[in-house]
Amino acid sequence: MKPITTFFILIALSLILSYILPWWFLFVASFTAGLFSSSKQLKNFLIGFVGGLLLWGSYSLYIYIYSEGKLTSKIAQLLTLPNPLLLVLITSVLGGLIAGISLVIGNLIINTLLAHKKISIDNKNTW
Amino acid sequence: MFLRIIKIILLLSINIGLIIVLNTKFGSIPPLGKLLDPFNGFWQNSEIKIADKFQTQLKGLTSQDAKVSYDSTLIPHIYAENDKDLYFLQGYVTAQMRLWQMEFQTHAAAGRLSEVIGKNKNVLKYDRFQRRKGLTWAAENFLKKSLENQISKIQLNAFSKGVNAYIDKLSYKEYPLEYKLLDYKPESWTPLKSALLLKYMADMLSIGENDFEYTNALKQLGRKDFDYLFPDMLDLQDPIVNGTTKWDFDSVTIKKPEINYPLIEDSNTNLENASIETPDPDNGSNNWAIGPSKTKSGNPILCNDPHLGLNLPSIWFTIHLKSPEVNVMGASIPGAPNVIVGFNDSIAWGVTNAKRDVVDWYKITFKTGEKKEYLYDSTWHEVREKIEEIKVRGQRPYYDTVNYTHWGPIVYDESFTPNFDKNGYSMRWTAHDESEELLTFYYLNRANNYSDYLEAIKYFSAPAQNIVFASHNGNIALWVQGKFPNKWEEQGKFVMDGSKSEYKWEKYIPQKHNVYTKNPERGYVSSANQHPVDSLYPYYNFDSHYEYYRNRRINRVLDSLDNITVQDMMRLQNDNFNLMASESLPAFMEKINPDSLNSIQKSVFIELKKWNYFNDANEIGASYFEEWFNQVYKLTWDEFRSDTLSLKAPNKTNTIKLIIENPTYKLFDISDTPKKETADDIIKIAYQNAVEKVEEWKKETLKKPTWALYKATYLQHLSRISAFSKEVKIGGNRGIVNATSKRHGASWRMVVELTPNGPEAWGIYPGGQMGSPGSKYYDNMIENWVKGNYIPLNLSFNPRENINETITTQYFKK
Repeated sequence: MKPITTFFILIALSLILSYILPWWFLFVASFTAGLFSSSKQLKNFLIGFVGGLLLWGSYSLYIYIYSEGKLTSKIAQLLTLPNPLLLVLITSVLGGLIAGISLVIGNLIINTLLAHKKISIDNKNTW
Repeated sequence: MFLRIIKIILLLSINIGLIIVLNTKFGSIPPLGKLLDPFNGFWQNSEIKIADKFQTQLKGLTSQDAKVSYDSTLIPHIYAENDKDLYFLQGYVTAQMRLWQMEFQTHAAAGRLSEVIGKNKNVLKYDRFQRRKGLTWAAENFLKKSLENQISKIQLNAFSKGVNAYIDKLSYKEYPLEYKLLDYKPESWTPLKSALLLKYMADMLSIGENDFEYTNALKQLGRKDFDYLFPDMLDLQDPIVNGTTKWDFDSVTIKKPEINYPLIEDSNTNLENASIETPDPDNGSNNWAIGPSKTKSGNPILCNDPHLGLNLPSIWFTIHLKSPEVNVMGASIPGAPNVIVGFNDSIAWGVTNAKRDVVDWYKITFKTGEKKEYLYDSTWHEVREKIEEIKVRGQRPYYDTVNYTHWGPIVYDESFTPNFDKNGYSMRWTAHDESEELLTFYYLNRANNYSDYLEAIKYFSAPAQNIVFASHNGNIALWVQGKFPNKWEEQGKFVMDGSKSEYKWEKYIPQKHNVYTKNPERGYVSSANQHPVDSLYPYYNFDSHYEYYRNRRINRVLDSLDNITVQDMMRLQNDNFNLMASESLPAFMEKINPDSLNSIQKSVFIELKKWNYFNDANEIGASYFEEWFNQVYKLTWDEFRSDTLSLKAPNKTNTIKLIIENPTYKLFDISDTPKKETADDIIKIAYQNAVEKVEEWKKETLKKPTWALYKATYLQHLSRISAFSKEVKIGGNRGIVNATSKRHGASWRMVVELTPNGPEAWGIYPGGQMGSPGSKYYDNMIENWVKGNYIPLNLSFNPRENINETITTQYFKK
């Protein structure tokens, strides 16, 4: 499966699951996307990271802009951040890390499960 | 195979572990993943468009037709077909806009903050104190009586159902922000919570007393000096009712029994300082009503501004309730049904705190060290034990045993205040008794005339209030209403012996004998927490902290005015004249020899000479005077500052009197110095200290010491999060009509003119209708409040006619 397809699975699934699950929908979505990925792990992480970053980043940025940053700046002050935009950045990066790690883990697990079959197929071939 | 399973489990655990970590609160750090998720976390509490948040269809009503329209200040105008629906919607709407505050305040009343906040020494002590004062017991007693009455029952139940209809719809995403930050959930609302809220107010307003302090002072000073320093009333006072009402009833006053009281020798028990936050003595208010003879229009005008702690979200919530039976508007308390201070088509009413001493302390004599039995009239009685389980977040619960005697709960004992007298002290408080104050508001909301008002206030026991009244047909009145023990001279002024029945409150002052005034000749009625009545009133009505300044200023201004307009009254509510300064500063200045001053001290002296006694925001003289006065007061009463003994210094009015009339009085001596100081010395030293203190402040802040900046009034978020709090630049101070001190002030200002065509009313409070810090309606009224502006309160608001002013309308059906 192409990386771009994995990426779209991640985004689509996130948007659907965000209506059903609490905040950890992103874990589930990226984990599931990881199950379908056939990329190497560094690439998997990057697909997840960019997906999570864009998802959490664009939504938080949207809220930041349309609410004129009123609450964002208060929470930033509460967390002793000098600039409310940093909070958008932190949210984005956190989203990226969650999705990246979860996608890699999903992929590692499916690989581990499939590894068994793969080996047996390989054996057949050599026969 | 086995290794693969291990690997899979390990990977899954990492992923799930990460979820758990980001879902957990660590100390004061909120759960980050949960909080920062833009789809559900705090971002969702940002306000993008208010109308989106309020578009709802709701079931749970009895009739088909109900709606709530929100005007441009986001005041809800509720239209319902019957009482049940009206109070259901009041509950629903209040929760929608103030849920976290409503619940947090009831948690605070019930002593349940440790449950939310976790382990914290001060919070636990606060919780214990709330339990020991028996606030939940008081709320239960209130509820017991109130639920017997159909009207109260309908209101309380409907209100609860409305709140719960809102809570039940919520998912994490819609929780008010504070729940997300502190990481907990709202629980179901109950009538007990509304009752707790009323007791929270009673606690705030009526629990201030000085029985221990006075007992200690009497022992230290002796009778003569005690009476000299703590007179019941000074001559310059102008009581609420001052010679205008004839007390033509047969009073049932009670004679002091044959007992040796106060027991000076017995009070030799070193009542140690309990070091617990007691209510702010600044909790007070102003109210007045002007009769037709003094107003320009010939219509009565009623004004009220209750002074409370300045918190965000504000303690008040403006609301308009309309059904076929009632049409009322004003300030409500988020969490209780009805309008508390407001007006309808025919009348207006308002309240100030009537500070009479309704809390007394009884010293308990136990039989043994186990403290299970106590002496009362030569027989031993068992205490009633109540075990209080205080849940502490993330910890095992804390158990506290509170013992009740027939007087009330033993608040202070060895376990709570280990250095206190070993015997323990029981509290007798009117707010513990069964009562039904809700009926007062229910009937006031519907009152049409003076006799309706009289009928309504009868149900009001605690916290006693001066309830001002005006009706569109021109009557004005003011009743000092509450359940007042009928005390003999000095009963309860000091700690009493709980082992003798002679000390009990024998009877209560009959409600009809309460202090009142109706349509007095001077053309107005007023109250500002001063003494209720002149010496001709037959009943003992002592309290240790009646007010001396706001009331006299208000009365002076009202006496001087004729053809009064609404604008005059708004100006008076925001009046910054410092009467105390005008009565003390000239005397202080006389003691200072300008030639002996250094250059800074001299320039301050000139500044003070120029000052006009107004504590306006930009005045510099006010800052120097206030600091000077503080220093004078501190130096004069150094004898009353003790780390171990509970003491209270004489009030400011008497301090000024002593400085002027008896400057060589022995207590002017500063105990720490070998010299024998007089009032003159105190004033000079205080002046130097004050100038130094302001100079230091200037160096630290690099600001000009204008009064507003120096005072730095602070509106604090209830959870004390500074990002949600606000500093404002405003004049006034305690003792001034605009009673805005650092953390206290007019929590609601209202002016109502009752015209023949209906009321014309204005109000404002330091906050906003929405409790959410993310809303622009969280603090949108503050600026106008600071400036002394008001917003119109429109009782005939109609979303069809006032389309431009309507932000949104919610429709509800069965």
